[in-house]
Amino acid sequence: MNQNNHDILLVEDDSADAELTTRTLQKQRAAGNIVVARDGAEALDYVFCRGEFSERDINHRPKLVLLDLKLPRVSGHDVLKAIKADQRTCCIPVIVMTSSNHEDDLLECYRGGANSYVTKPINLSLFEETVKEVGKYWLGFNLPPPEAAFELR
Amino acid sequence: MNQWVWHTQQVLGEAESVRLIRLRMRNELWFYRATGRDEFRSRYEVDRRKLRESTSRLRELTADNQSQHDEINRIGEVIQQQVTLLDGAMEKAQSAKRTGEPQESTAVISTDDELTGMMDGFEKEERRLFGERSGDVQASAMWTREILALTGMLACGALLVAGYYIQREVLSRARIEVGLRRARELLGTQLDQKQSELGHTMEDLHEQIEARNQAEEEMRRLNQELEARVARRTKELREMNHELETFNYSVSHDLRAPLRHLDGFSRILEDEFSAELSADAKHYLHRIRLAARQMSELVEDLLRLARFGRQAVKRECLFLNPVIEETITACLQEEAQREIVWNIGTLPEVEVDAGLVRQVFANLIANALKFTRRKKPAAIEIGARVDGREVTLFVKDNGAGFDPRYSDKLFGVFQRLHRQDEFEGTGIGLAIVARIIHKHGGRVWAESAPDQGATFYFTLAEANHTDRTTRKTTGANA
Repeated sequence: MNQNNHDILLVEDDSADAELTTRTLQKQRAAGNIVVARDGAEALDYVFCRGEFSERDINHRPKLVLLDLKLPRVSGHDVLKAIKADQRTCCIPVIVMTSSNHEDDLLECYRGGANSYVTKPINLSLFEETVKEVGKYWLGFNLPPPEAAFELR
Repeated sequence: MNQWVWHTQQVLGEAESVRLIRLRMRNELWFYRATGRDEFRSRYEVDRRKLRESTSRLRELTADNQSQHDEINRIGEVIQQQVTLLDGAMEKAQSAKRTGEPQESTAVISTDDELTGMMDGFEKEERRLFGERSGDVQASAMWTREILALTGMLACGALLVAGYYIQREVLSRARIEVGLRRARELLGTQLDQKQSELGHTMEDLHEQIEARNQAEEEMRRLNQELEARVARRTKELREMNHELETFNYSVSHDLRAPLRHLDGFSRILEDEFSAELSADAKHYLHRIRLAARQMSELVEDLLRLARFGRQAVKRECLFLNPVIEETITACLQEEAQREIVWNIGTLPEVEVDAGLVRQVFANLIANALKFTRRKKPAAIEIGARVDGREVTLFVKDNGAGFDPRYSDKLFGVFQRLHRQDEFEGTGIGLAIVARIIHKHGGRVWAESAPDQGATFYFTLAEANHTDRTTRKTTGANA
C-alpha cells in the first residue's frame, strides 16, 4: 500500500464493491490515490496511524473518507464518531456510502457529524453514476478544509 | 281410628318430599349448567319421576277429603308449570352444551311464593285434620269411662252384660293404645326417615357445592392457561416478524449486491475486452449478463410482493374511472402506436386502499396490453357489476388467453403460462393482484381459453355512505 499522497480513504468490506468504486473514481481522474480499508478497525488504524500504519504521518490526512456502515470489527458509525471526536481529524469530510436508507442510520450519521449521506444504488449504472458524481463534487467543486482546521486550539 | 293418624303422617311426609325434590331438581339444573356433567342431568330425570310419583300419591291419599284433594290438584298444576319451565331450561342447557354457546343465567320461576303458600296451607290443614282425628280418639276414651261408672251404679245385675262390655271396651282401649303407640312409633320412624333424607340432601348439597367450586377452579385454570398461550403466541409472532424483516433486508441487499457485481464485471469484459474475445465467448458473456439481469428483476419483484404483503390496508372512498384513465395513460406511453379499442364502463365508488387498488389495475391493464400485442386491433374492456355491497370488477381482453386447466395456478408466485420469448415477465404481477385483493377481503379469478382472450374478475366492497350522510349533504350543498 503506497502510504504517500493518499487522497481518498475508501472503507468498504465488499471487495467487489471496492473494486467497482475504485475503478469508477480512477476513470474520471479526479481522484489521486485511493486507499481501501476492509473493515472499521483497519480504517481507524490508517487514520490514526496505528498498527500496520504506525509509520504513517498523521498530518498526511486523506482528503476524503468514503465510509460504509455495515462493517466487520468496528462499525461505520463508530469509525465516524472516532474521526469526528479527534481534533486532528475532525475536519476531514466523511461521506457515508451505504445500502441502508433507514432513518435511524441517517439520524445517527448526521448527529455524528457526517458531511454527506449517499445510498448505494443496487442498479449498476446508477451505482457508477452516483460514485462519479460524489467524486466530482467532493474532489472538484468542494474546497477542502485549510490546514489550520486541524491545529490544536 | 289409628288408620287416620297413620294417614296424616303419610300425607305430610309426601308433601315434604314434594318440596325437597322440587328444590333438588333446581339445584341439579344449576349444576348441570355450571359443570355440564351428565350425572346431574340423569339425577334431574330421576327426581322428575319421583316428583310425579309423590304428587300422584298425594292425590290418592287425599281422595277422601274433597277440599284437600282439590288443593293438591291446584298444587299439582303449579308444580307441573314449574317442571315445564325447568325442563325447558334443561333442554336449552343441553343444546348450549352441545353447541358450546354461553349458558344463560338461572330461569326465574315466578310461581315460587305462590306454591310455598299453597303447600304451607295444605300442610296446616292436614295437621289440623290430624289434631281433630286424635281428638276423636281421646274423646271416645273419655266417654267409655263415663259409661263404666254409670253402668256400675245403675245395673249391678247387669254385671255379666257390663263385664262383657267392659271387656270389650278394655280390649278396644288396649287396641286404641296400641294404635296410638304404633302411631307414635310411626311418627318416630317418619321423623328418622325425614331426618336421614335431610341428611342425604345436605350431603348432595355439599357434593354440589364441591362440584361447583371445582368447576370454578377449572375455569380459572383454563383462563390462565389461555392467557399464557396467547402471550406465548404473540411473542413467537413478534420474533417471526423480526426474522422476516431481517430476511427481507438480506434479500434486498446481500442478494442484490453480488448481482450488481456480476453485471459490473461482465460489462467491463464486454466494453473493454471485446476485441480479445471470440464470438462464442461473447455469446456466453451475453447469456451471463441476461441471467444476471433476469435474477435482478426476480429479486426486485419478490421484494415488491413482500412489500405489498406487509402494507396495511388504509380504506378510503375511491372513484375508479379516474384511476383507470390515469393507468391507461401511463401504460400507453410505451405503446403509443398500437391500435387498441377501449371499452370502459361506468364504475362505482369503492372503499379501498387507493394505492393498492391502483397497483391492481396497473398490473391487470399492463397484462391485457402485453397479451394482446399480436391482435389488431386489441380490444380491452373494463366493467363492473354491483351485487349488494359487493362490486365485481373485470378486465377483459381479446389476447392470447390461457388454458383454463391452469387457471388456479395463474395467481401463484413466479407462475408463468407463456414462454419468456413469447411474452416477457417474471410471473409476479398476478400474485401481487391476488395478494392485494385478498387483503381487501375480496376474491379474484380468471376465465379464458387459448386464443379466446382472458377475463380477470375481482371483488371489492362498495363505498358505504350511510354513516357519512352529513358530509355528503354538505358536499351536495356546497
